[in-house]
Formats: sequence, C-alpha cells, structure tokens
Amino acid sequence: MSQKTVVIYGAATMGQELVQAIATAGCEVILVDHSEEKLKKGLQKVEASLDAEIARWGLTSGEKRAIMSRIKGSTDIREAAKGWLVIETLKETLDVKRQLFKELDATCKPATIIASNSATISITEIASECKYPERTIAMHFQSPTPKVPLVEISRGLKTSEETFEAAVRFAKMINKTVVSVYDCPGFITTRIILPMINQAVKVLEEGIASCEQIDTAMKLGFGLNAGPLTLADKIGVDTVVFYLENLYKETFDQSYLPAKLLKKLVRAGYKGIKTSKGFYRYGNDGLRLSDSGLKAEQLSQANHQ
Amino acid sequence: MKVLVLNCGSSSIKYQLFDMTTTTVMAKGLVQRVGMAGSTIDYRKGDDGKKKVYEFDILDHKIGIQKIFELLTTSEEAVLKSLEELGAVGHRIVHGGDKFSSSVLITEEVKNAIRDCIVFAPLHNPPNLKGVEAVEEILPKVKQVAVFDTAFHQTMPAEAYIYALPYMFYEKHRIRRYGFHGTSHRYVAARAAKLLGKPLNELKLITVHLGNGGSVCAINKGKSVDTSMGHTPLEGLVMGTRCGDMDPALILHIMKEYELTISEMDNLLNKHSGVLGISQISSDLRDLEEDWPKKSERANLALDVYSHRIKKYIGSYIAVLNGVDAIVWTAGVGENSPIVRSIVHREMDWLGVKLDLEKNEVTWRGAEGDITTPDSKVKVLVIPTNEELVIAQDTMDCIKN
Repeated sequence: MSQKTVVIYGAATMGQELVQAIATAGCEVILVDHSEEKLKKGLQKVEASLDAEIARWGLTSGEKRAIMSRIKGSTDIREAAKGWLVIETLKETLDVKRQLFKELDATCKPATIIASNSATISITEIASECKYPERTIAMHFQSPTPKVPLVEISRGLKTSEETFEAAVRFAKMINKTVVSVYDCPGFITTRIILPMINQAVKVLEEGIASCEQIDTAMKLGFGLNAGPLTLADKIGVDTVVFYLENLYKETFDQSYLPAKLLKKLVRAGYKGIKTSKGFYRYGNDGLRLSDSGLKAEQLSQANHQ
Repeated sequence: MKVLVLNCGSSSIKYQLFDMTTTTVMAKGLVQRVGMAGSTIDYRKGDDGKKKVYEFDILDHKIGIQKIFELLTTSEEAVLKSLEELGAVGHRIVHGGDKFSSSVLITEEVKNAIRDCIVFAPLHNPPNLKGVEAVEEILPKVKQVAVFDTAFHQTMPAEAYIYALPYMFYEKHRIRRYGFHGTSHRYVAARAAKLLGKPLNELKLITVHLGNGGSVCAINKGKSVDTSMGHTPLEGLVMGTRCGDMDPALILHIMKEYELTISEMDNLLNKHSGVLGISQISSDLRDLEEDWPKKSERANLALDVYSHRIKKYIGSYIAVLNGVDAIVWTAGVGENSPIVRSIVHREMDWLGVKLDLEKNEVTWRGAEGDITTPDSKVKVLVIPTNEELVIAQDTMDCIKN
C-alpha cells in the first residue's frame, strides 16, 4: 500500500499539530475541515508554529518551505478518499465522532485506515455505524505532537491485525514510540493524568495552595515538564471536563467526577491557552503572563465574568 | 564500464558519469539549492560540454536523483540509452567511523554502519544514505560503492586524534578526531606533488578544502597527520552555517539561558551559525564578497572571522609539520575566492609566504597554478579538486575485487 498521503480531519489545535508533525517527517498531508475559516486559521497556525521553530533555531527556512509544500487544505470531505490513512481530531464527544466515522466510512475506499485521536471514547463505539469497522483504530497523540515522541494505539473489538500493523508502521515513520492497548478509553496517559489534574483543582478549590504553588510542587517534586494546572490549560479546560465525564461514565470511578471549579471555569469561558485564560492568563503569543494564576477571590467569581 | 559518482551534500547533489574504459567524463552536473527557493540542475555532456541549466522545484534528494537519471537517459543530450548501461554507482559517504579505512562495496551491513554514524554527521550521512537508497529503488541490481571522507585520516597519530576527555569515551565509544574531506585532501596532495615536480613522500603540505563545509589538513610524506574537522564535521573552520571551533562551555550556557532542547541546539550550531550566523545575510561566501569591502560591516566581519580561523590553522600546522613546502587551496571557495586567499595570506612573509596579488586574482574558475612570487619560500597552489575521479577509480577497484 502506498503510504504517501495522510488526511487529518479537524483543523483545531490537535489537527494543526498532527499536520506539522507528519509533514515534518516527510509525508504529504491534507488537512480537512468543513469550515473554511477554521481551515484557513489552522493552516496559518501551522505556518506560525514552524516560524516559531525557526526563531528558536529548530528549523531552517528552506526546511520550512519543503514542509509547507507537503501540506494541503480542503473543506471537502471527499478529499479524505485521497489518503491511505485518515485521522480524526474532532472534539471529544461520541455523537460527533460516530457521525464523522460513518461519513468517512462511506467516502473512503475499504482499504483506507480510519483512525480516531479520541482519548476517552471507545473506538468500538465510534466505529459502531461503520460498514468496515475492521479498518478503524484509535491513535492518541499527545500535545505538543511535534515534540512528544509517543502515540498510544488502541484496537477496537473489530480492528484487524493489518490495520494495527499499518498504524504501528505509520507511527514509526513519523518517529513516535508506540504503546498499544485493547479498546481502552483513556489509554494509559489520560487515565492516569486526569485524577491528578482533578485533585490539583480540588487543592486549589479548598484554598490549600495557589496555582503557582501547586504546579511548582508537582513539577519540581516529580520532575514533570509542566504542573497539573498548566497541563489543564494546555489540554483545554473544557476538554479536561469532556475527558473526565467520559471516563466517569465508562468506569463509575469517583476520581473522574469533575471538580466543581472545572465546570465553573468552562461556563465562564476560561478554557485555557486557546481562550487566553484558564487557571492562568496568557498573552497573544500563548505565553503565560507572570503572576497570573487564579486568585482566591476570583475563584468564586469565575462564573460571573 | 560506466560509473556514476554521486555526492549528496546537505543542499546539493554533484554527479558525474564516467566511462572507465577511457577514464573520460560522459556527463556531469550539479543539483543546487535542494529544498530551497530557486533550485536548479545543471547538466553538461562530456567534461566541457555546454552547460544547460534546468529549473525544477527540487524538494529533497530523491527527487534530485530521479531528475539526474531522467537527464542522463531521456534529455536532448542524453548519454545513456537506458539505465541498464550503468555498471556501478560510487557514493561519497562522509562518516565511516573507525569501521572503514578504505572504500567498500555497499551491502546491508555497510548501510547499517553508515546509519550508525548518522549521530556523528547529522547533516551528511542522511543525504548520503538517501542517495544510496534512491538508487537502490530505481536500480535494485546495480552495484554501489561507498568512498568515505574519513578513510584518508586514519594515519593520524594518537596525539592528533585523542580529545582531552575522560579516556573511556575513546575506549568505549570511539570518540576521537576522524577528520573529513579525505578524498579531496588525498587528491590535491598528489596533484600538488606533480605540480611541484617532487615525489609526494618528500613533501610537507597543508591543504585547505573550502566548500560549504571546510577543513585544513597537515600532510607529511603523503599521509594525513592532523586535520581541523573532528569527530563530526562541526569542528575547526568557520563554515557556511557551522560555527567550527568555539568555547564548549557556551553550548551549556546557551542551552540553559534559552531553554533549548538538544535538537534545537544542534540546529543552532549546524545550520544557523558560521558566516550566515555572523552576517545574517547568507551562508554563501559569494553573497558576502559582492562589492567587497563595501557591502556591509557585518559581511566584512564574517569574511574576516572566516579567514582568521584559516590563518590560525595554517600557522599551527606549520608548527606540527616543522615547516611546509606548499599550501594548497581547493574546493568551491578555495578555488574561487581570491578575496579569502588574500586576507589569509596577508602578512605571512615571516612564514615564507609571498602572494602574487595579480596571479591570485586570475587563478579561479577551474584554473590551476602557483599564486606566489618567484622568491616565495613557501608555494601557494590553487588546485581544483577532483573527488569524483577518485571515487570512480575506487569504485572500479572495489568491484574488481
């Protein structure tokens, strides 16, 4: 099978990062989104991200040009038929993903592999209305995808061995290490990190420590790159809530019951870096402003703003 | 037998097709600016046929090699009826570690060894390997030979190749100076002996190879005894985009201060430094020499730093060799930059070098010759390198065995 063109469906942050990672690894990639505006913005973000790489000496302008030449965009779902692999990166809700899989299943040749980037929803369920579920699989990439060398692959109940092997081959081609599980919402990373974020929010809620203190303690204490609240802002506070609710429904494990403050923040539009405010505030460049962690008095007001 | 020689560099592919029964060049050319704006392929039939320049968008080496094959077989001036006429392909491979002290036939094992050395030559071994693999895909049956840049320097004595690091790095990881451009240093040294009319084994030579990368080599009686590039091609001279020698503590300092990852720091040193880093104009000396010395202060500074480093190496190698008979300039910049040569040899009369400024000015674009005054004790020669010929000959030798 020719492994030339990969299609990414969904031009939000994960879609952008995947496009960048895949094109940087030398593959052709088509970014598809039904919204012209989102698509345009998504492609601009990819270019801006490559420029940022050049600015910190990670890339040359010649390399950037070659990478950009491998990226195309489209608003037409039929473009998905051009890929040997399609990866969906829509928001973390079952209905949306199931519907898209149904459409992709009808659009693409039966040999095309259709992957979901879902972290917390069963791939078997997402593919439940597909005619050819054996070619579906979950590939969960971690943000920032161009830098994180991991992909978790989850096989659904009906996923074929060929599909799994092709997904592993692809992961290696773009220099990612594979950890694979069987139809397991949350995989390993999401399942283990969510209770930590949830607990961190509760520690904040109870006034035990400030955002900065919580993140500093976890970061230095366990040698993490980012503390749990910074991580929540990066993932997106709304996405964290989707994840928690999905895993709670899946497991009925109390540790996945979202902390009240998480929901408050989402209602107030405090969705993290993408909205320039979450547990911290961020400048237009996405960098955190100093001393910007949520203060005790804001905690009770987050839902009024 | 027809032998194609490929030299896949970081942004270029040099190619030459030889008919080895007569040792003549059937066609040759250069793919330039691979992965950059305005990439071109030039092609000429024979050694001095009229150059034709084709513009293609060449995004990577594989596309470049495909285009070369197309030109050789299907262009107006094609020299091959089909690719089946090709007897062998010889590749310039930059880093062979200490596994190769001579050229070898390429096997899976050799490819793996070349791959193992990527870590030591991150800019070069990958495009070298891409060349080997592209040929393999198009012509699975053709024999391929690897000619290593590191092989010639295997004669260096320990005091020249051991770094003053804990010895276990050498013992366990073979971390040592290897040196590069060996094929070129070897060729121009032999050629210099001919021009000087003396046997190579009676000569002390310093060869200065300046292309995109650059290195200086001290050659005693035809054997490399020291060279400026080290374990990787990053050490030594200031290059187009590489920093060459620097205070190693700066790497730690910069990484800490700017929170750079290893790969970002690697890129900084290999792709964003050198004359490009200083001038912020170009990595290509020709761009800096335009209107010299009126272009800009920074262009001049880049040229001065570049030339000063070469001067330092020449001085130190005269000490290493205890004298020198001739200094040899070669490769793109060495053959074509009277400006750099004049800056380097300015005020070198105490060391016995007296440049003939007029000869220096006119000896370029493939010209060969002495550029010193008759009373200059040390000769300065400009010799166009011919790595391709050496690679083609080595390729024949390897195939015969």
